[in-house]
Amino acid sequence: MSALHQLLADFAGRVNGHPALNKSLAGWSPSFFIEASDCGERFEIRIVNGHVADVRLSADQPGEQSLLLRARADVLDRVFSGRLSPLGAYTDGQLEVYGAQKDQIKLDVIALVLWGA
Amino acid sequence: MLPPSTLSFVRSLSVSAGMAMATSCFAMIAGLAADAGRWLLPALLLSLAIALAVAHAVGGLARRFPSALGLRTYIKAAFGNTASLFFVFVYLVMIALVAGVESQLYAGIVHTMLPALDAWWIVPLLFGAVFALNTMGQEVSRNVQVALVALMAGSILALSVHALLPAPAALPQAAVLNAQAGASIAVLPATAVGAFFLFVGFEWVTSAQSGSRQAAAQLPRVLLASVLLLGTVYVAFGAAALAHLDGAQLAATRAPQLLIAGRLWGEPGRWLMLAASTAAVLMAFNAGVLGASRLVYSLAREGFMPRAFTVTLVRSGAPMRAIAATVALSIAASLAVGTWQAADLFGRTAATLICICYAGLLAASLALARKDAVQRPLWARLVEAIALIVMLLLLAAMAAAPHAWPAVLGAAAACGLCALCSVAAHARAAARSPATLPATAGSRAV
Repeated sequence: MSALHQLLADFAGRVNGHPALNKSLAGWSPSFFIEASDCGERFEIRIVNGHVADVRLSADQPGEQSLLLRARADVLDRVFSGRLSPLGAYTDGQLEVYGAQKDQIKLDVIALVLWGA
Repeated sequence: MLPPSTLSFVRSLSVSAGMAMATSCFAMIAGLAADAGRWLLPALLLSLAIALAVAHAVGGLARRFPSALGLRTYIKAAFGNTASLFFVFVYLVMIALVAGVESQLYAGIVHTMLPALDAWWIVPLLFGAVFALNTMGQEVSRNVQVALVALMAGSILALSVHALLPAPAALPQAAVLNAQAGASIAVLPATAVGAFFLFVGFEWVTSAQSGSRQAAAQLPRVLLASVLLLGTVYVAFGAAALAHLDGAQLAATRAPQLLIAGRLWGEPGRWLMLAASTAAVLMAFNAGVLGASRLVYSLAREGFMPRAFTVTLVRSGAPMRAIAATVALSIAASLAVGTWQAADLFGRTAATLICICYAGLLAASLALARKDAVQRPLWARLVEAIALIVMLLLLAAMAAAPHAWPAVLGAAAACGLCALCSVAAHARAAARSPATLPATAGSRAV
């Protein structure tokens, strides 16, 4: 398991363990991918009814409707370890976010609750 | 059904072209035609060339920062946070001013057709519709946007082609009068500068959400296609206006599309043009609110605007209060324009502000290329540098012309206020430690 994979697994645990998120994300089941733009590693975060069911390496291409986070591996590392504000990284253009507006807002809620920014 | 890639291209194109192709554009074409006569079309082509240069520069920035927040990200990467905040605030003020002018102009057109309806009814109805549309989420409003742009561009092109179909010998007397009008080539630069404002807003699509990676990757081509579409519509309509309206009629009218349609298609034609004007004003406001509310939401999330603007709707994810704030600011501008009869002043002030924003975008493109030693073709940098010089000359020319001083003063006041706000917002955010933020404060859904 790569360092990024481990960080994402920890992230899944934190999302599932947070009572406020369990309530906010109820009913949310997006197709969600995270991709490292430099090394090509791509992960599928399977979310079912607001609960992260699985984090796995994926060779599948995200669909047009998928929620996709994309950045260099070191940026993703800093974001998911809480050392870099995802919002700041997004505004700076380091972190790319694609997907429907309502899915992006859910992701924003997760960032706010877990990291406060 | 269109393939997904074509559909996303068309949606983005409709946001880009829809923001620029407002009702006031046709009033402006009539005004320019009255002054420039036969030089109108060369001036339109010249301004099209400048707009293509700006589109190329913004396209390069969009390629470099896909999915980013347009102006906010581009300027921040090049010149830092405070400069970025300044330009975003200026842009938001400009959007409100344009909305104020456009809504009052539209209210005037409706009043011509339906004298019982005055601006006090039309403006709230208009903004209420845009608010409702945007709270349904971006996917809904983007689909409606495509239909509105198709109606507007399609009907204006159809009217223009019909107006130009007769052989030159059969064209109305106005064409002969305009062709013989005494305007010299000296009017070309000023007319080209005026015509440049017809394209303003096409880059706004970079601030609206792209949705997919494919849509973000299409942005550079969308921008160029949008400018070409706008150019085609304006040149065709300009030629039609010169062919059917003489100098006095062009100078007097604020709705030339209604006049020409009335002559060619009778009363049904006038109603069709009213529908097209409705589409134009709705699509411009819709595109404006799409982008502006996203910027307001993001600034509020970052702590640069009140946290109250981060409230979103659960069902659509729409930033409800950011949309409401954008609409409220636009209504306030509209009331100010209507009360003080200040459409000309507000319009010229907005034009000055957008020139400042375009100069900022071009400078950001050049600065980033230099900063990161990005290998870009010499011709691309040269074109952007020329476009930046043109923007600065345009601003200098405005500042030097006594008739433009009120607008320049208005723009200077707006810039001063935005500079103060950006410095204060940056200082406030810098002073606040992330650790002191309550973990669940800020964004919430209703």
